[in-house]
Amino acid sequence: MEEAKKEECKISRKRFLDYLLAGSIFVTFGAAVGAALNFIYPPKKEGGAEAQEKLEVGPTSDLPEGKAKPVVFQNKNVMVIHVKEGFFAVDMKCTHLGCMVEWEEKTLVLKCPCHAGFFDYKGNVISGPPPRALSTFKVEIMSDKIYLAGA
Amino acid sequence: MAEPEKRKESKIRRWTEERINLRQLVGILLNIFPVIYGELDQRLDIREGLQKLLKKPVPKHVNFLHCFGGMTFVLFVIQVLTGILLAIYYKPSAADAYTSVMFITNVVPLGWLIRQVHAWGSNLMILFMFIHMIRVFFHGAYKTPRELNWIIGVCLLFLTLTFGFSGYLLPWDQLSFWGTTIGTEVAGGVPFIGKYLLILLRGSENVTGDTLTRFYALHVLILPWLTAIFLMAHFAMVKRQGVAGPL
Repeated sequence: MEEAKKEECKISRKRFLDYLLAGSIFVTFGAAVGAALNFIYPPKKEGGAEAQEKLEVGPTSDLPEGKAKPVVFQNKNVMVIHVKEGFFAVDMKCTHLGCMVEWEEKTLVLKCPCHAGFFDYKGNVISGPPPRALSTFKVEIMSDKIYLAGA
Repeated sequence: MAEPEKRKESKIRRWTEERINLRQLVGILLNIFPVIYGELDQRLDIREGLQKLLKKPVPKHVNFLHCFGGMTFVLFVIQVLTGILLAIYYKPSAADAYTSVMFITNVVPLGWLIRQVHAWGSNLMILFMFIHMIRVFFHGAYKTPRELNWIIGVCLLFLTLTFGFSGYLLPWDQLSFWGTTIGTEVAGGVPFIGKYLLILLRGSENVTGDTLTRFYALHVLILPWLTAIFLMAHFAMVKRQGVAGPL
């Protein structure tokens, strides 16, 4: 029984060397392809957009009262707004279906162009289909410069 | 105490032997060959073509001195592959070029390796190309009927040197900037047309971002295709005329 099994497993020397050669070629090229794939996969950038803690929007003189400016902060589109009450920042993504809201200078409200949702400068819903208020961001003013700092 | 442990060990071994059969694993890999040598071969005559290539007799006088041309070609293939990888992250503009090269070197996994293989490969390619040329020269292999192949080889020499010169600018550091400034200045010394040649090479009066995009296009689009075409002609002629006989 054992002998028969051994006989069955026998590979000729030539066959074995063939396997060895084919195997080493597979391993060599596999390693090269693996290295190339490792190279292609995009590495995480240091201090990437996700980890961004503070963003300088610009000097306060660039954003007079009644105006608003869209910026990208922590991979989100954020509208920085200057009204009589001070500086505010809200996420531009409408809570209804995700359109980008616009700032209306005349009425001082945020308007969603898709389904006429209206928000005030603090992100609260005034009217329309949006179910929730827009999320807000902290705004800091230091030596006449506007900074965005966290949610 | 020792007895049950031993039994446990043999049980584990049997378990692994039952499940991981090395021969089966090798067999799966080898199943790829029957497709190529079996069903595909029946339709495409792969075996015949392969055997013709593999069993083609090499003339007796061929020795290691005849290998340098092939080694140059292998280095060219390596340059193409590593070059494609580098092009994924490289940004050919005056503002981004240096930062992107630093990003490749310091941040991208194995980026330092790919970049250095490309840099070393370029130098080695030129070295092996010259050894190949010297071999052909001293063997007199350029003589009738192989003059045209020598001329094409010289074209490949200039193409490779242009590859090296244009690639030298791409890291956009002090070394490459001044190297290109001096190199293009040499072209500016050509009588009569030098002035225009200099502008043509630089894309402006001085070495600027315009020069960088020019050299990048030359390095990754124009030269590789030209070189590939010339190489095909080079090899076709060797195949047609055979390796030159002994002295």
